[in-house]
Amino acid sequence: MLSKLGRIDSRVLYFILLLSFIIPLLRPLGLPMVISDEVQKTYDLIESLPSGSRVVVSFDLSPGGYDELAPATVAVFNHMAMKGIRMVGMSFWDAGPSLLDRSLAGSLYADKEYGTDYVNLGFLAGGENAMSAVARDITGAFPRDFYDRPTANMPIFDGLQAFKDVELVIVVATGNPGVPEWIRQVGDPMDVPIATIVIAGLVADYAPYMQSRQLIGMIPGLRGAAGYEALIDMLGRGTAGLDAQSAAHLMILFFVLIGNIVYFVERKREKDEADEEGAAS
Amino acid sequence: MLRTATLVITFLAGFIMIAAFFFDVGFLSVAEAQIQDWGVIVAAFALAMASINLIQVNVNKAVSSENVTDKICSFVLLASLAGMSIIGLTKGPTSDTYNVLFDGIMAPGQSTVWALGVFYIASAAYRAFRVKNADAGLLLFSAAFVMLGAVPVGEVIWSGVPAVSQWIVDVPNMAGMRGMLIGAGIGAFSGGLRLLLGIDRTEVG
Repeated sequence: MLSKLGRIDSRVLYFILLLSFIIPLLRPLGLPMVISDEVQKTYDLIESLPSGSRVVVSFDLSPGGYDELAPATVAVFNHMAMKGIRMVGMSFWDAGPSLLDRSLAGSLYADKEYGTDYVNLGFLAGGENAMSAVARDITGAFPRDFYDRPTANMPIFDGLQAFKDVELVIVVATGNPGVPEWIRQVGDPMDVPIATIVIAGLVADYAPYMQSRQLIGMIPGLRGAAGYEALIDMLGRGTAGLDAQSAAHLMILFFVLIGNIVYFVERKREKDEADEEGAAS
Repeated sequence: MLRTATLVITFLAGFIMIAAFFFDVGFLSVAEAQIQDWGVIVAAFALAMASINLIQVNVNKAVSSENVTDKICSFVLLASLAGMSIIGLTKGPTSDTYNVLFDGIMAPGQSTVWALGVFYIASAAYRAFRVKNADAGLLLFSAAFVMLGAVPVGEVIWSGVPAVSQWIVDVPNMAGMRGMLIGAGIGAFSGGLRLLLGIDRTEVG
């Protein structure tokens, strides 16, 4: 029985894991919500900004990671829109601008005025070097937006030339260039606060930046999204997905446990057989 | 002659960027801004160069490879590259046609590949994550607490899970990450200095 379990087909494991996602999505477990310090700090910072403040959002992510970050992004956009904060969006990843459009369309910014309350500047090649160039002169680096409209005359840029006039930078990141590059080129040299919405897999990498206060807020994946949705009292996809994530984590740990039980039982049996053979000879 | 010129340009560009970072002098700031703008233009050309390289490699494969799967994959890649490029250049990246291709093929395709990772991780964890010694035991213990601490079910199992998980991230993980970051920083400084002083000449061939 145990040896069969050790040679179980991968497709069976895939199917069990798939069920562990689907069942909680169809019948939510209603697990208690925990709001982490990083999420609370991000919320507090945005909450403290006065109406009319300008926040840069850099969409440095791939479509692969977007599904994990979309709920948190929409929640933060909803909070910013409710507070009357103006959003300057840009990207240093080629797919970023299209994904930013999706998040904007799903948030309260969809009812705001483009060019006055928010703008999508599009993609700029050059990674870290381009970030520095934009930070120095926003409309100089992006003379036209994602829709090929001239940016210089947009009301959102009145009195806004460089990042020194910006209250906060939020980096939505799945990799490089991302958070460390923003800290190096903008956060540290220009003294601009930086927060991030990041995939859960990068939380451990960015923890040192939180402790050194080079990052003032971090919203990790679905768990962060669910916490933020609770804070703004607008439950959405983050809350819905959290039970499924809980079940998946439990299932993977269960697989590891079963795998180790099989390993130890088989090792003991092999040892016993070897001892018996030794005694017989 | 060309080699020397490249080394001199590299040194000057790097020196101006470093000097402008430390000293707020008018002409240095102007030069820094100019170099950054050139950098953005060069990066845009690099994207075009990468596309040309991708086309060359895959045209060769599509024409001369004996493996049918390789041929098909290269052909699909070339067709996708041509299709997205032509539509992007003629109709723009905000056109309906481009959005249909992006939202209907590219985004779901990448999301699928990304999501498949969890199934492979689960299968690999089942087959390969064995507590063969104390190190592996420690790794399993840490992984279990960090995984459970990242989701609400951890607190349901035991109220101390989030605190233990946070301690693992904030103390042992932080120490290791800081060591790596400092090491990488010193390495980047050393590598940059070698490039600026012309000791490392890989960029000039």
